[in-house]
Amino acid sequence: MPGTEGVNAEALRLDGVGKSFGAITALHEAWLRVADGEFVTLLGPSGCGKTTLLNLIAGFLEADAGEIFIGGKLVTQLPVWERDLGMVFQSYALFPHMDVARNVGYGLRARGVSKSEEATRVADALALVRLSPLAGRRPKELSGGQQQRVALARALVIRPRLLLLLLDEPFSALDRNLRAEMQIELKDIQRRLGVTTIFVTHDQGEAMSMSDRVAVMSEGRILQVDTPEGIYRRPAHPFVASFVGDATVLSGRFRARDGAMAAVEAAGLTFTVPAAPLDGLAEGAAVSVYLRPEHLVAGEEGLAGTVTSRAYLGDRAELVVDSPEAGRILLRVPGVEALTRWPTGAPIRISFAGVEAVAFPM
Amino acid sequence: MTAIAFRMLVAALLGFVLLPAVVACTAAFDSRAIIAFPPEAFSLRWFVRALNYEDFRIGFANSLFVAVIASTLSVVIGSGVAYAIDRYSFRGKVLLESLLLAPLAIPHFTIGLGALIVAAQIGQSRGWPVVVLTHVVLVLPFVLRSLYVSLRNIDPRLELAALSLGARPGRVILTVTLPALAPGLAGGWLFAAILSFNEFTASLFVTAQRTQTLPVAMYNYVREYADPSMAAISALYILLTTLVLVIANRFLGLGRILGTEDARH
Amino acid sequence: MSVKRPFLGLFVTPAVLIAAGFVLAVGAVLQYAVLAHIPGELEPGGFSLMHFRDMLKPLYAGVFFDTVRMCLTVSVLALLAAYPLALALVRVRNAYLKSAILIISVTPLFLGEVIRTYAWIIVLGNRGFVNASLMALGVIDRPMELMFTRTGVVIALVHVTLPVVVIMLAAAISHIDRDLERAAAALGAKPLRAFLTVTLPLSMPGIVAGLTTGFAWTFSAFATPQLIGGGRVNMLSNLVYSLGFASFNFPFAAALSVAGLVLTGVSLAGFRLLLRPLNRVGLR
Repeated sequence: MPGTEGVNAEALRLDGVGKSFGAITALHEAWLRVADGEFVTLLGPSGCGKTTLLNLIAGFLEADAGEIFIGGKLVTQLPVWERDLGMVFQSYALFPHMDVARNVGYGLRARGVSKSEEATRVADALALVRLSPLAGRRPKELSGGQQQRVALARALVIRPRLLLLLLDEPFSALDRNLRAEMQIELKDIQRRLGVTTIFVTHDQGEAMSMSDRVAVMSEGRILQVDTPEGIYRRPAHPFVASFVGDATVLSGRFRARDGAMAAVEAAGLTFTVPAAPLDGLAEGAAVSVYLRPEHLVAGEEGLAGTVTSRAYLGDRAELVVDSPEAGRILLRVPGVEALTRWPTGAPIRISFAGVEAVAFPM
Repeated sequence: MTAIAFRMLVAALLGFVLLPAVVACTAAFDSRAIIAFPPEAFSLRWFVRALNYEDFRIGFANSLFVAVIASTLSVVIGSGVAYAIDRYSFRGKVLLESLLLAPLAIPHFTIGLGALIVAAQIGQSRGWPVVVLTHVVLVLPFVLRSLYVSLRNIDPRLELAALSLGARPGRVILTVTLPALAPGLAGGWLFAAILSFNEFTASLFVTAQRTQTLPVAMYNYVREYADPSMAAISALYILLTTLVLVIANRFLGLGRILGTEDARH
Repeated sequence: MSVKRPFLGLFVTPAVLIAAGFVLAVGAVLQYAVLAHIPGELEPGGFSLMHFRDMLKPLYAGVFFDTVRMCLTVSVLALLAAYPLALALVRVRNAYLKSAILIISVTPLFLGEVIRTYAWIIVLGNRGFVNASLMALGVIDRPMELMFTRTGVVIALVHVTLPVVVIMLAAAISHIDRDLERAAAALGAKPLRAFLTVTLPLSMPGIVAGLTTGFAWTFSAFATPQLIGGGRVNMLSNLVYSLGFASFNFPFAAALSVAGLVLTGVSLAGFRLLLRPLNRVGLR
């Protein structure tokens, strides 16, 4: 029965949670299990339903279908303020009329914690995010990064039986360098406190570098939940393959299945790909073959083509090659090599040794 | 060229707006018992007379009383209903809002006449309650507009953040919404108080000798006497009102209350 | 969620009572409008449409006509005077100058109709500021008739209506993205052209709001036509008051108020209809 399952190490469970707004289904039945202490990211383009899902978990929206469990406790019908969660908002949402210490202590006061305990716990939380000297400042007197840390401390200080830290694109307002720094710091704090975290972003770099697992969403569905490596190397859905990382897509034909792997043919070459996405295809069926640019090698042998554009990025360069047989191919080469050997218009040959390809029915 | 012409036009228009106030203030210091230009001898006697005139003193006290009660009631009633209209959906919401804003579009003499008839029907003819309630009806739309602006300028995430931190709705309203609304409440109150203090047409219908407000007393004076006492009280009035507005502009931002400044800038 | 609309009843009930009071007051006017007046009696008689027949007499119909004409004149003049002030208010960069323009243009709003009207009596009177100045300068040798004339009432009413129209226009102008004007300038438009082709059309919602509000405020004005018109310029408000308090004919006063409401409603609807093509320009 719900409520008695609290002994297990499951921080969050979504059992077929769905939400519609009028005729628009914002979220189709979502199923997800998050283990205690895990860092899970909801990744997807805007409008994919990730923010809706986040609002459902937080309790800002009411689910039309399914059940939500936090720490094994059924919370689907529970109001926001009884869900015991910390939330860091994109705009930080610091209370402008309270100083830093009062902001951080807000959740404690709402819980009726004693004044002395509030003072100690606020001091600890501020020390954790290295903001102790700024306890008396107002939010508008802080930099973006400092505001971010106050918001984090305010969410963490509640320290409930099981805390779910929901981050709604928390870094998008910061500049690039600060963002990287905050990502490292947040990940460090998260690991030290063992705090279960659900993180929402459309930035795949953020998702890949911070998460234990990533849930890729599109058009209101969770398409795949896996480790960052699994998402990148073994995408289960063409959307995942094209949304995460860059890919060259070739059209080809299904040839044969061999256990867990299968053979497909494209551009006159044969690729070995995971068989699972191709279940039930007949020989000769049309497939799309996805190739990662870093697996392709530019040189003197292989598929012939012409460099049509070159984007020099310093350490590396991205080349777009037009091949009569395969169409448009994207590949990465070292920066120096690109400058000396591959100007626009240069003939090039591409070899596919060691390629890790995936294929999906067309 | 265009710029200079525009500046001169604006200066001339500001002059037009200021002219009656300046002229009234000048006339107040003339010692003669009749209004005539140019003033001849400087005197403060009309100020002394105006301040000692019984009807003005009673009218001032009455206006102050009505303005404070009516604007306070309007702000209390208005903040609750503005919050409900802005944040909730409930049956009859559109109707309620239209009824509350309707006095903006209905002439004060019509509202005054109606209030007078109702008061007579329930035997409350020309008592305090009818004066105060008429003023609440008339100033509430202005309070609502000022509060809507403030409510919409509150980042909704502040309230969501408070809820997620475990605060119940009542606590969120008291600790987050109300403090964020404070400038709007103060502005709305001030706006309502000034409008109520100055309300004339509807008051003329619903006040009696005992409940006569200052504008009604001044109107009656202008109809009966021509001496500069009225100029003296106008001068005091202009001075006080300007002072209040300068202070309000300094602390609350008049442009924000009146909506002449875009909140985004 | 268990509590979706906390304190709804507490928040809404007092406002519902106020709205009910307002409905009661307007309802009383509607009710009296269709009751007979018995001369010498304060209590109205039975159902009668006599007042609506009586108000078609030339005496009363003339007042209706004058009132509407006055409202149109005043609202258009107020709009013309308010636009430059509103534009200056929004566009001036110096903070002190901005505050000064704001306070000067809205202070009259907070002075009340009586004081403003009184001040205009001093300005317009036979021995008032205008006549004394013009005679001292030798422009005229006899005082101009300004008091108790339509012109005098129009001047004072434009002054009374101006602040609220400035506020409406400034609100609309402040919402116009200044980059649009900069874009026009970058495309080669001189300031006047940029104003006429960009700012003016985009401020159309404010112009419509300003005109309608000016119309409604003039319609509602009482002290100004009463004191400056001095009985020679009669507006509907003055007629309603004198019928009520001089003749104690409250039913007729109520009927005139109702007719006035219908008249403003129709005029404002007509106004909006006429101005709709303009409004569409603003939205484009």
